[in-house]
Amino acid sequence: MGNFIRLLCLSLLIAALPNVLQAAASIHCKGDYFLYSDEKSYIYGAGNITLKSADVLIKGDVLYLDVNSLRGVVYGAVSVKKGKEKKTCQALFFTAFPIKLLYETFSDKVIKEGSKELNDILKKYAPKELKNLELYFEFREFRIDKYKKIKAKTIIPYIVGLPTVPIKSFTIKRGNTPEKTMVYFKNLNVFGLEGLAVTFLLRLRGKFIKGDFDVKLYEKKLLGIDDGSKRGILFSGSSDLLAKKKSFLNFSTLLNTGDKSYNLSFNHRRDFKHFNYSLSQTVSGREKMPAFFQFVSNFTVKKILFLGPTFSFTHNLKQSYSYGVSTPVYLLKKVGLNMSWSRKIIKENYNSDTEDFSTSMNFNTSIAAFSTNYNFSKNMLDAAIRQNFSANVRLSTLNFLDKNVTIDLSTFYMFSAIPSGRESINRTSPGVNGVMASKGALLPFGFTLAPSFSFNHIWDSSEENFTDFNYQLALEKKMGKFKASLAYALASRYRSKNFYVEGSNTQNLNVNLELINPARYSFYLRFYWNNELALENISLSGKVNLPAGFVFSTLALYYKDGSRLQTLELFLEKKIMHNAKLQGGYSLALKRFFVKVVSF
Amino acid sequence: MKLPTNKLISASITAFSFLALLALNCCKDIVFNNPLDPDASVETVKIIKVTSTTLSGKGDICCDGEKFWKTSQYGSLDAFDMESGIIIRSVPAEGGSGVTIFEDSLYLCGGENIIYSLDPLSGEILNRISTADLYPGFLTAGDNPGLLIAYDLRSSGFFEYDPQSGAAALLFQVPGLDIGGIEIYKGGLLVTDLNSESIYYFAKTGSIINVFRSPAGAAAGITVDHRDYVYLLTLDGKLYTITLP
Repeated sequence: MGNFIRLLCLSLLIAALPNVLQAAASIHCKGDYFLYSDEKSYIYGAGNITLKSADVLIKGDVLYLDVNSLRGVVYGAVSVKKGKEKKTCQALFFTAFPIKLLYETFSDKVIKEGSKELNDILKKYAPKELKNLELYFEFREFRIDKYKKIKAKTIIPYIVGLPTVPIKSFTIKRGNTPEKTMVYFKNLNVFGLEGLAVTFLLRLRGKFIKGDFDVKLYEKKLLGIDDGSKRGILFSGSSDLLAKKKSFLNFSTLLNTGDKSYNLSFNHRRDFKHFNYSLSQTVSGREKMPAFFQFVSNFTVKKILFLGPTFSFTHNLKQSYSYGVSTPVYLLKKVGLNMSWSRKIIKENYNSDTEDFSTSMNFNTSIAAFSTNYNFSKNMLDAAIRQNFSANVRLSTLNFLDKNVTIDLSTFYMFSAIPSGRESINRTSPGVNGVMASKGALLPFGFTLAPSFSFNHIWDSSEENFTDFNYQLALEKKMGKFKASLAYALASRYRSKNFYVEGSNTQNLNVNLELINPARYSFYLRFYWNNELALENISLSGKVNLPAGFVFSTLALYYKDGSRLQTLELFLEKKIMHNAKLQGGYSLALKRFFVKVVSF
Repeated sequence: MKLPTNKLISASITAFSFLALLALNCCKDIVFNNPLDPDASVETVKIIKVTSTTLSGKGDICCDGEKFWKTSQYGSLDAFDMESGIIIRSVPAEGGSGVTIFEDSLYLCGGENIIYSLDPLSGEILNRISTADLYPGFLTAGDNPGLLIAYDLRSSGFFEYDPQSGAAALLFQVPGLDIGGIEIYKGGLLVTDLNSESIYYFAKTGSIINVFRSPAGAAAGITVDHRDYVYLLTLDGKLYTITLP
C-alpha cells in the first residue's frame, strides 16, 4: 500500500507538470517577435503578425494585446479574412472572446467599419516599458484561451533584464481556473512539516454536479520526517448535486489515508415562502474506532404572529439526542428580543442530560443603549444549576471641545450562580465603567501630549468592592517619515477596606521609534520599561520592498533579562508569476526554515 | 477664537491629568500594600499592561513562543506581536473559534467534527483530521504529551484528545457557559465565560479552583506565555496582560 501511494504521489507530481503546461486552443498567434510582461499582463508583437481564431485570419505588422480585458489592436497593412469575406484596413481593433472586429482606415478622416460599439481607445505599452519590468518573456508564437491562459513557443525568459535559459514551449500565464470538469495542479511544497506534498484541485462541473475537491499527496519518509504518518492522500472538498440548476443535495467529504479517518456529510435544504427546513446526515470515523452517525434537522417558520420559531432535532444511531426551539420575538419594532430552550441527552460511553434556556433583549434610544441577557442551565443528572443575568446601559458618547475630549459612561448589573460541588456560589455585581479620552494638546516644538483615562468600579457581593483605573499618557513628535513617541501607562486596582484603601498599581513605559515610507519600507523599534521602570525588552519589526520585487519582513524581540533573543523571524516573499509567489522564512523559536511556491 | 480656547482647555486637562497621575503614583507606598493589614498579602488579579490591536470579534488566541495567533469566524488566522499588538501576518483559513499550538503546528477548530493542522510559518494546511463524535469548539495543548484538550460543543464537555489515535476521554462537563477561550495553566484549565465576564480556573477533574472577574470585561481569547502571564483579548481587540494570584 505504501509503495503504491508513493508511486501515485510521484506519478501525479510528474503528471502535474504537463497539466500546468497544457494550453487550450483558442487564438493562435505567430510573428517575428512577441514580448509579454507578467506584471502588466500585456503582449506586444512586431513583424509578420498572424492571428488565427476559428474562421478569422488576421495579418498585420504590430500587435498590442491587453490580456486582462482580452482586447487588442493590429496596426500596419492589416488584412482580414473572415469566412469568404476579405478586408484590408490600417488598424484593426478586436475583442477576443467572442471575436468582434472594428476596422479603421485613415484618410482625411477615420473611417470605421464592423463592430462600431467597440472602443478604439486602448492603452499601448512600448516594448521599452514592458522590458523595464522584473519578469518578461520574448517568444515567436503563442496561444491564448478565454481563461487568459497563454502558452508560448520558442521563449527566452528575462529576469531583472537578464536572459535566462531558452525554453521550447511554456505556459507563461496560467489564467483563471476554467469552469469545467478537470484536474488542476495547485501547488507543490518540498520543505516544511509535511515533506514533499503536491496538491491538485479536482473540479467537477456538469449538468447535475458542481464541486471542488483538493487532492493532496504527501510523502514524509523520503524527506526524513517521522511523525507517525509516512505518506498519504488527503481528499477533501464539497459538491452539490443539481436539479434545475439548483442544489438539492450538498455533500462534503474528507478522506485521510494518513490517519485512516473519514468524514462524510450530506446536507439538504429547501426554502419556501413561509418556512424552510434543513436535513443533514454525518458519517465519520477512523481506523479501529466505531463509526459515528449523526442526523440533524431544523425547521423554521418565518413568522407566526410575533414569533419566528426554529425547531431543531438531533439524533445518532445510539441513544443520544437533543431537541430545542429558539425564536425571535417581534413585539416592538425597536426591541430585539430572542429566546431559546434546548435539551441534550447523551447516552454513549458517558451519560449527560442538560437543559438550557436563554433570553436576550436590546434596544437603542438617542441617549442610551440597553441590553440584557439571562442564561439558565440545569444538569438533569445531579440537579446542578448555573445561572447568569446581566443588564447594561451604555450612554451615548459625550463630546466636548469639537470632539477633542470624549467621555463614555456605562453601568451594569450582573448576577451569576455557579455550581461548585453540592453548593452554589452566588455573585452579584453592579458597576460603572467610564472612559475619558483626549486628542491631546499641541505643545511647543511640534510635540503632542495625549492623555486617556478609564475607570471601572464594581460593587461585589462576595468580593470587596474594587476600582480599576487605567491611565495612559503619550508624548509624540513627527518629523517627516520619522515619528517618535513616549507612552506611559499606569493601571491601578483599589479595594476599599474599612477606613483605608488597599490595592496595587503597575506601570510601564514605552519608547517607540517609527520610520515609515509606505512605498518602500516601514520600521518600528520599541523599548519597553516594566513596572520597576527597568528596561525589559527591545523589539524591532520591519518591512522592506527590495529590488526585483522581493519583499522582506522581520520581527525580533530581545529580552534584557538573560540577554536573550526571544524571537527572530525572517520572511521573504516574491511574486514570480502573475498568480504564483515564492515564499521563504526562518523562525528562531521553531528553529526551522521553509521555502515554497504557492499559487493564488 | 474657538480653537485656541479648545487648545487651552485641552492643555489644562492634560496638565491636570498629569498632576493627578503624579499624585497617584507618589502616594502608592502610603496607601497600598499596608503591612498592618492582615489581608494585605491577599493578591488579586493584577493588570500588567493593556495593548490595542485591530483584531476584534470572537475567536481564541494562542502563543507560539514568538507571537500570538488569533482565529476568527470570518476565515482568517492572524499572527500579532504580543508586545505591540501589530499584525505580523494573516493567512486565509477555515473560519474557526479555537486555536492552539501543538507539536510545532497550529491546530484550528470551528465547532465541526474536523480539526485542521497548519504550518505556523507558511499558513499551509497540513492536515484535516476527522474527530468523529467530538465537535471541538476550543482547543489547547494538554500538559500530557501528545494530547490536546478539546471543548466539545455537542456535550459541553472537556475531553483529552489524542490526534494520532483519535482516542478521546471525557474530563468534565460545564453546560451553561458561553466560552470565549481556553488555556492550560499550572496543571488546571483557564476558561473565559462571556456570559458572566469571568475567568474560571478548573482542575482537570472539573472542580473549580477559583473564579476571577475578568478585568477586561467580556474576554474572547485567553492564552499564557512562558512567564505565566495571562493574556486576555477582548471582543473590541484590547489585549490585557494580567497575573493571577
